[in-house]
Amino acid sequence: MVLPDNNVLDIIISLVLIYALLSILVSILLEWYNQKTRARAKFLRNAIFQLLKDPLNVHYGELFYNHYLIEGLKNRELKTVPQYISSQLFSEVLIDIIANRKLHDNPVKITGHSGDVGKQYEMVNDRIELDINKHFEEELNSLNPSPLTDTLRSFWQKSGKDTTKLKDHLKFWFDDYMDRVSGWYKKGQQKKLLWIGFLVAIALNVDSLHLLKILSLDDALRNQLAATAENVADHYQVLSEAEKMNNSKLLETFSKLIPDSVLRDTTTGIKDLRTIVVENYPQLKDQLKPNDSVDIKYMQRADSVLGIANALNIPIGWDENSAPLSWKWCLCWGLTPKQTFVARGDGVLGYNQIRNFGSPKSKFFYVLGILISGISLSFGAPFWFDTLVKLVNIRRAGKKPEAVNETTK
Amino acid sequence: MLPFTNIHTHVFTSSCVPDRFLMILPVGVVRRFPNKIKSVLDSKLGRWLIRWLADWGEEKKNNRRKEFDKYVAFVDVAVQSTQLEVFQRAFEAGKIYDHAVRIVGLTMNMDHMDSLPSQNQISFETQLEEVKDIKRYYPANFFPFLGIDPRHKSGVDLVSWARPYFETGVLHKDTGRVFPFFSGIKLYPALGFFPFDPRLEELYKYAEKNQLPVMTHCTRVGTQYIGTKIESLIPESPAMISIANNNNFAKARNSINARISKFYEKGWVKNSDRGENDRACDLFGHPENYVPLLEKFPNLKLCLAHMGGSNEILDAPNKGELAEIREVDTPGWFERVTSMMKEYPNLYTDISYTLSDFEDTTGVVFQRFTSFLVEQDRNGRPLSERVMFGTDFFMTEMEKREAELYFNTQRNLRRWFDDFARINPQKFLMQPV
Repeated sequence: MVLPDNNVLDIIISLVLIYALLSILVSILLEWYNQKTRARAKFLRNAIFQLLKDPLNVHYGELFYNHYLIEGLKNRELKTVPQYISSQLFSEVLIDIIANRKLHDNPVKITGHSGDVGKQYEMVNDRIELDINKHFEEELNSLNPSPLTDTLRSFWQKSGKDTTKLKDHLKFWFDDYMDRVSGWYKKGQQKKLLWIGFLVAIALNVDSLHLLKILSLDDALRNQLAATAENVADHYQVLSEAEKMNNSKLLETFSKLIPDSVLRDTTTGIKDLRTIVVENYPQLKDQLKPNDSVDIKYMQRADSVLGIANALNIPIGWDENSAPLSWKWCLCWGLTPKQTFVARGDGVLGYNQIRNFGSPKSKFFYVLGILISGISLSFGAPFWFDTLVKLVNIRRAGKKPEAVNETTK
Repeated sequence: MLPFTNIHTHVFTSSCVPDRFLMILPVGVVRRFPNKIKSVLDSKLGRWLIRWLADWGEEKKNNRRKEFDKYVAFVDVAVQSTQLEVFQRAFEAGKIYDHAVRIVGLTMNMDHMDSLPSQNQISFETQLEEVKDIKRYYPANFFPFLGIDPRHKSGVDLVSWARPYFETGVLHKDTGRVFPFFSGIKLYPALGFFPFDPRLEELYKYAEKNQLPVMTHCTRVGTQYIGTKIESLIPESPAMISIANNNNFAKARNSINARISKFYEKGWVKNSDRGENDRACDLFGHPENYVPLLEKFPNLKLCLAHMGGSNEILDAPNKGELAEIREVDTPGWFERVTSMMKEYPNLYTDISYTLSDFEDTTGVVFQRFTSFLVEQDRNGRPLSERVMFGTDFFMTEMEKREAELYFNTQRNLRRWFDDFARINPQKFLMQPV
C-alpha cells in the first residue's frame, strides 16, 4: 500500500525531476547565448578596464588589451577578446606596459635642418638600458598619484623593488579581484536565467500547476518518474563537483537511463553539414575539414533534452487538443466546463476536459503555472539536482526495511 | 625621390570618441538617441542589418536609406579594435604608390567635445600612447600630429606637457635615421575653442622655434562640439593673441567680433540639449581666425586643411543654408583661404576630403580648384607649391574608398600629383628622409 505522504513526496520528486531536466535546457540555452554574444569575454574585459582605469594617468585597460600577449589570445577572424586571462599573464603584461613606457621614451634632439632632407635628429642616449626594474620604478614615480598608482607603489615597496616578487603581489590582487568578478558575473547570469526560464516555460508550454495535477492523478506516470528520479539522483551523486556544473554530464544522468533506440525516435537527430556529407559520401571524409560545430553541438544537446522529455512522457508542449490552444476549439463547441466534466467523468481525462475548455479560472491557473515554471527553471540545474538528491534520500529513508533489503539483494 | 605622402588621415577608433559622438550628424533621430545608435553600430549584427536595409533601399530610386551604407563603411573602420589596425588599412592603400609611403595621422583630443561625461571613452593620453606604439612599429611611415586643446592644458603647462611627445623618439633600424614620436600639431577648433586663444600662444612660439607644422581643420561641417554649453565657449569678444600696432590683426579682430555678434543676433549661437551647434561651431574654425597667428608667428607653418570644403569652392548659394550664412559671412571660405595663401607664404592647404569631388573634371569644383592652383602669391610663386595631397581617411569612407581616391587624384591631377604628394609635404613636414 502506498502511504499518502509517500504519494505527495513522489509527486514532488517527479516535479523536481522535470525541473531538473528542463533546467539543463535553460542552462544550455544560456551557455549558447553567452557563447554567441561573447558575454563572458566582454564581462572580463569590462572588469579589467574597471580595475585598471586611471583617469589621472592613462587607461591601462586599453593598453593592456592592446599588448601583444593579450592580442595573441584574441580570435582574429571573429575579433573576439579572450574569455580567460591567467593571473600570471596579467602580472606580466601590467609590468610590461608600465615599464615599456619609460623604456620607449628615448630623448631625441635636433642636430640640424637641411632643405629637402628635413630636420635631422639624433638620440640623446646612445645605448638603451634594458633594466625592467629601473624602468618600472622610473615610470611609476613619474605617474600622477591616483588610487591605482598608489596601490602599485605599495606593491612595489612590499616586493622590495623587485619585479619578480611584484608579480606575486599582482597575481594575488588579480585572483582576489577575479573571485569578486565571478560573483558579479553569476549575479548577472541570474537575470538571464530568469528570461530564458520564461522563454522555455512558454516555448514548451510548461505549466507547473498542470504538471502537479497530472502527477497527482496519473499513478503510472508518477511512479515511472519517481523511479527515474532515483536513478538520476544515483548517477548525479557520483559526479565530481566540476562535472556537476557541466551540462553534458548532467544530461548523461538522464540519457544513460533511456535506451538509444528510444532516444533515436524521440529526438530529431540534428546533424551538421559535414556529418551529413560524410554519411552519404564516405569517400569525401578525408577531403573535408572539420568545421566549427559549436552551434550544432548546442542544438544537439537541446534536442536531447527534448527527446528525453518526450521519452519520459512528460506532459508539456503545444497541442491543439490541450490548453491553451484547445481554448479556441472548446469555445466553438458551445459547452460549459461543467457539462464537459459530467460528460467525460473523473480522472485525468475529466481534469483535462475542464482545463482544455478555458474558463477564466483555468486561464488564471494556466498563467500562474507558467509563471511558477519560469521562476523555477531560472534556479539552474545544479539547484534542482541537489534538491532531487535530498528528496530521494528522504524517500529512501521512509521506505520499509524489507523494501530496502529487497533492493540490495 | 621624396617619399609619397598622405598628409591627412585619422587613426582613432570608436573607443576614442565620446559616447554621444554621433550627435555630430545633423539627423534628428540620431541626435535624440546617440548612445543607442552608437551601440547598434558598434555591433556587427547592427551594421549588418543597416547594410541590408541599405542594399534594399538602393533598389528604389531617391531612397535615402542607401546613404546609411556610407556611414556603415565609415563606422566599419572606426570599430576596428586598435588604432594600429586602422593605420594599417591606410598604409596598405598608400603602399601601392610607394613602399616608403608616409602617412600623417592626426590625433584629436575629444575629451572636451561633450559637456557630459562618457563612460566608454578612453582618455586622450591613452589614445596618444597607442599612437606612439604605431610610430615605434612604423617609424619611417607613420607621422602623427599631436592634438591640442586649450581646455586640456594651457600656456607653459601645455608646452611642458607637449614637449616629451616631440622630444622623444625612435631609431629606424634600417636607415639609422631618428624620428621624433610626433611630427606636428593638430588643431580642431570646431571641438570648442578658438585657434587665436591666448592659452595656445606659448605652444605656437615653441612650434615656430622648432619648425613644427600645424594642421587645422577648415570646413564648415565635420566633427563639432556636441555639448550643451556652447554660449559659454563663445563670448561676444573672445580673448585673443594680441599684437600691438598691426592693421591686419586689428581688422581681423574687429571682423571676428562682428561675426560673433551677428551669429548671436541670428540665434545661431544658442545652448542646445541636442548638441545642435552646427552653425555656432563654424565660428571656431573660420579661416579668418588664423590671421592673428599668422601675423604674430610669421614663420609658423600652418595648413588650412580641405581648402574650406567643396561647398565653399562651389559657392553658388541662391537659397538654402549656405545662402543664409553668406548673408552675414562673406566672402566664402575657399576665397578667404586663397587670399590668405597669397598673403602668408607659410600658409598651406590640402585637398583632403575635398578631393572626393574631383572625379568630375568638368565640374565647377574641379575647375575652380585648378584655376586656384595657377594663381600666384605676393612673391610671384604659384599657390600650387603649397597644396598637399591628403585623403582624410577614414572620414572619406563615407564618400569613396581610399584606393579610389588615390587613383582618381593621380589621374585627374597628373600635372601636380608629385608636387602635392612628394615635394610640398616635405617642405611642410621637414621630417628626415
